Amino acid sequence: MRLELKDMRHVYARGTTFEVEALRGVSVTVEPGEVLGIVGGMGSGKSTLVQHMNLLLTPTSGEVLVDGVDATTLKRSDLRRRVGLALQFPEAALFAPTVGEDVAFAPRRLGLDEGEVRARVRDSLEALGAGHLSGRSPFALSGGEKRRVAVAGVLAMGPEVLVLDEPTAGLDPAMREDLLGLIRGLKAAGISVVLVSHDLEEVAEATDRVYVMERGAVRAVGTPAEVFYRVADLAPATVQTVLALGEAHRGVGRPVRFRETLAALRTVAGN
Amino acid sequence: MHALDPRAKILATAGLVLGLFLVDSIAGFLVVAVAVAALLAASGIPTGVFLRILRPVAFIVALTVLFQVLFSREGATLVEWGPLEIHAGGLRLGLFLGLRILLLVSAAGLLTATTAPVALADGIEDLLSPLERLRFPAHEVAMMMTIALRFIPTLGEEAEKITKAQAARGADFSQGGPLRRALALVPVLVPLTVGTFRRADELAEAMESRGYRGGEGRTRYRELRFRARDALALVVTQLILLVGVLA
Amino acid sequence: MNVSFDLRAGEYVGIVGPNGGGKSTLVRLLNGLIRPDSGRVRVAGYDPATEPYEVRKRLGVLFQNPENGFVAPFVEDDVAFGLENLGIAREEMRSRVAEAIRAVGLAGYERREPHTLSGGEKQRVALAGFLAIGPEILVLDEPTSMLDTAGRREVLECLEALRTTRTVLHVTHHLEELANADRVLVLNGGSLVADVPPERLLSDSDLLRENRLVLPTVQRLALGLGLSLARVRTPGELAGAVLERAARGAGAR
Repeated sequence: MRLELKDMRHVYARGTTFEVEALRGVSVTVEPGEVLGIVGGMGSGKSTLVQHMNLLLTPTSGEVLVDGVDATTLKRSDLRRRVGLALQFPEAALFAPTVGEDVAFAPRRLGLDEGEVRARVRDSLEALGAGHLSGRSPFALSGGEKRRVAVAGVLAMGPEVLVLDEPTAGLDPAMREDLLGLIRGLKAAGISVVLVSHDLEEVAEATDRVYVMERGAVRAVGTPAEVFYRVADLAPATVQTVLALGEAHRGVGRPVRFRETLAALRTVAGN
Repeated sequence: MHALDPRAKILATAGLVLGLFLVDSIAGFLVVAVAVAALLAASGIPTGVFLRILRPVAFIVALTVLFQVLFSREGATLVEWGPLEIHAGGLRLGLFLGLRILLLVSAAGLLTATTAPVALADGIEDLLSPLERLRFPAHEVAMMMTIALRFIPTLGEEAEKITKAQAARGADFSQGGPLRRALALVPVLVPLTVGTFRRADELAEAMESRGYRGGEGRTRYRELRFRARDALALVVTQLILLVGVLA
Repeated sequence: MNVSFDLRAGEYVGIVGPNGGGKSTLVRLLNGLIRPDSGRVRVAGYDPATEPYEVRKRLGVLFQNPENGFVAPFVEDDVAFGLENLGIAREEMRSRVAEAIRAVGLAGYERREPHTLSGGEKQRVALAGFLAIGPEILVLDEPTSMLDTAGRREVLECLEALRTTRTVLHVTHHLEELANADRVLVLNGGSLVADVPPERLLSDSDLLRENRLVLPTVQRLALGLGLSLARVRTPGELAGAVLERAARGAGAR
């Protein structure tokens, strides 16, 4: 699916003293099968932006197009099934007596038969490395486990695009590897991923393209290499190191991921 | 009016509430009504906003008045229409009751509209503190109020977040009759409640870690200063009330 | 739990380890929120289990979740909370609160409400509350884990400024935050498995792996290049070390 957000404007609390323009004319496209990163500081509007992708928020002006069709003309439940969105700290919404029941919430709402629902629950929990938690109470799990269950709950809808808003926030750094593995698996299965994150390392390793947002507008867009080498104040440690080589970094290209950066540094060091 | 000491305002309102139950004549009610109207004007609150405060009670008032008018058998009969009878006493009772409720709500509304919630909590704490001697946990009550006030916006945001998360999973809060809609709220209320209990635990830990151990030996950062004009306001309102009661 | 260690005045000690390994339990034993089944805890000579109030005057904790530690409806009232608990007179409270708010760079925020603040700002308010009381020991329980990059930077800058005048115990998952620590304790499964200087921890891949610790990117690159981790902490230092190696190589040829 090709998801396009055109000229998005979103104004919160219109007409009151608290009025704030969170999005000031943003255009973003999610190409089929790609992993798209969205980075930016607080107040950049990235969370507001992605909540328009499944019309949890409606724009003050602008269009949301799904394969060229206006998303507002689609059945809302259909749209939310095809564009799955996991908000920040999604585990705050866990509510069912068991993990299995909680993950089943969304597929049940789709009117699938019990057998299909169970299969979806099992598959999505497995994809998140949480298959063994099915019978446990969601309230008795650790932070990392809860996060996995919550994301599984969204994945169980079988979306074509999965939007993850800060999926590793508040968790220990070891979880980043698991996230990268998940994204790789999703991509292999043909599911597009939108990764909103303040963790540049994550975005550098996982994404095909990146949008940099600042104060409600797109500041830059391109491949991770194009973006991180251009936007000096927002660069992962790998890019910072290469840039710090000064003159010597010419001829080494623009490595962004860990392995290619290591190789580039080895070349410079004369290893 | 907004700058008056909350204690004066609370006491004035309390006095008004008490007095309203003692007023027993049209003239008396008129006096009080004029006083409340004057206070309303002095507070600078737009009439439209104020009427909105009264709107929820309008139904109850109408119902109460109607009930009294139709079912009270006091006084001379004015109208007879089959089984229904309207007596003069009923009309009087109905009118007084209606006026009482309206004026009560107006007074309370004035209080909350001119006093910041935190100031109210401080005022209540101060006024209740002499009760500490009678083993009444005035400090704890005040602390509860302050904490509740502090967390209202936070819990509101949390509720909104959870609602959005469930909507993203296909939950629909607008479908079906009252029972269906109530059940649809379970995926929001359960995590909200559980989350709130967890918050409470973390907050308690944080408070204890910062040396909290109840009201014993505790000083207060915020200050309430009772000035001449607060005393004046209090005295004037109570005098007017007295006039109303005696009328 | 099987842990024994001493913390000397002025030391900066890090605590790392997998979740569920005992780090949070340790913090709560130190300030008397929980009491040990056996063993002895002494903070500045006091036992937190029997005299928590005395301990809490001398040891302050900054918790992980900035939201749930914020007690009062306004910033300055929250900073004053600890002072109120100590029964400090109002006049003195005013000056200490103002001073603390300034020290964390939040002058002007006095009447702000917590829900209008960012995570980093809320943690700085918590830090101001700590400074206002002025205890000698600061315990940090993963203070930046719920913050975004900018928030982390804010809080770490504030901490840098005040850690030299205090004894600090810093629990964290982010090993790069412990670059200036005197030593790092590794807690796993309730036991103290290591007590080493930070460079030693960073270069011991078995220790890191067994305790599910993740090396920051700069250190991982340095390891991959065979460089000593002692002097490589930032991308700039890594680049410098790489260039140095290149120059030596060119010189040798």
